[in-house]
Amino acid sequence: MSPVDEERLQKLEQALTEAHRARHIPSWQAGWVEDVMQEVRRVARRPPRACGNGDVVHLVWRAACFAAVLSIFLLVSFLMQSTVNVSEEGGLMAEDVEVGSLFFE
Amino acid sequence: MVQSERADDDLVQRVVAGETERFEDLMLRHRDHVRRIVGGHIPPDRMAEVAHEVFVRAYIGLRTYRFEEPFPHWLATIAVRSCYDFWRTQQAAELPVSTLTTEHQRWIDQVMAAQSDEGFAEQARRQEASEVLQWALARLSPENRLVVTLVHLDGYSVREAAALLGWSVINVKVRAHRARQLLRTILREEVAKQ
Repeated sequence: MSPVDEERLQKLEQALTEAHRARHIPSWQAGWVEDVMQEVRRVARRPPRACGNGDVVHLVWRAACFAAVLSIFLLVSFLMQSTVNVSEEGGLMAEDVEVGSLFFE
Repeated sequence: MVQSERADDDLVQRVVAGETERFEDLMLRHRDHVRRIVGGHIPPDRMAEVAHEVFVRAYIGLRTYRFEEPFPHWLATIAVRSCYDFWRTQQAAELPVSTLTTEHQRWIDQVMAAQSDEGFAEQARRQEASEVLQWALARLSPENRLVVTLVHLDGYSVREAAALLGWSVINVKVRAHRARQLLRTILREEVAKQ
């Protein structure tokens, strides 16, 4: 795109930005507040358990985090343990070889 | 300002304590604030429905309001996230402007050819301007649409937009840049067709 076209595109962008800022936002219709309040009253009448849904979600997230940390801990412990076992086995084999060489002597 | 915040906090405490009817006072105090936010993101014919959802969500979440930030800021985050949810559930067929007509294309020609400031301002006020904008925004994902509207059209800072969306500053910064490039590509392709 040529610089002239780029300039024309910028003009278009600017016109769209101004159109957004000058947009007409409708005012509230009669009865809108009452409609919302009716639903709010309905929600307020629900048993408190339904309102405490956020607490349940929070608890689930906490449990998931705890489980994830525990899994990582167990995995790291397992890996460390298996590394130790491998090096110990290597050491035992090395001892065998040394003992063997003594017998040959 | 401090008095106003105290009045909000007092009303919130009363509603949480069980005085449900006081929520109407909160609504009356902040409905225009919500109207301006929702009106910037949602088509006029769906605005009341989304604003309704914002206040019901605010009522349900009122117990989680911690009085650490002003109530209007907390309400603004609910409003912006409700707008995001609105666009996530919209189908392409339900978009207000799905294709551009010859009138829209003529408007694009006229605005790009406008020589004087008056001519330009007049073009920006026309109905076609708003419709072309809706058409272009509809081609973005809900995330990109929201970010481009907040940062580039409404003029919020990246930090403010991040707080409203609950995203990291860097995420908003990167997305705002990419979304604007996408919008420019959409417009450039349309201009190239003509």
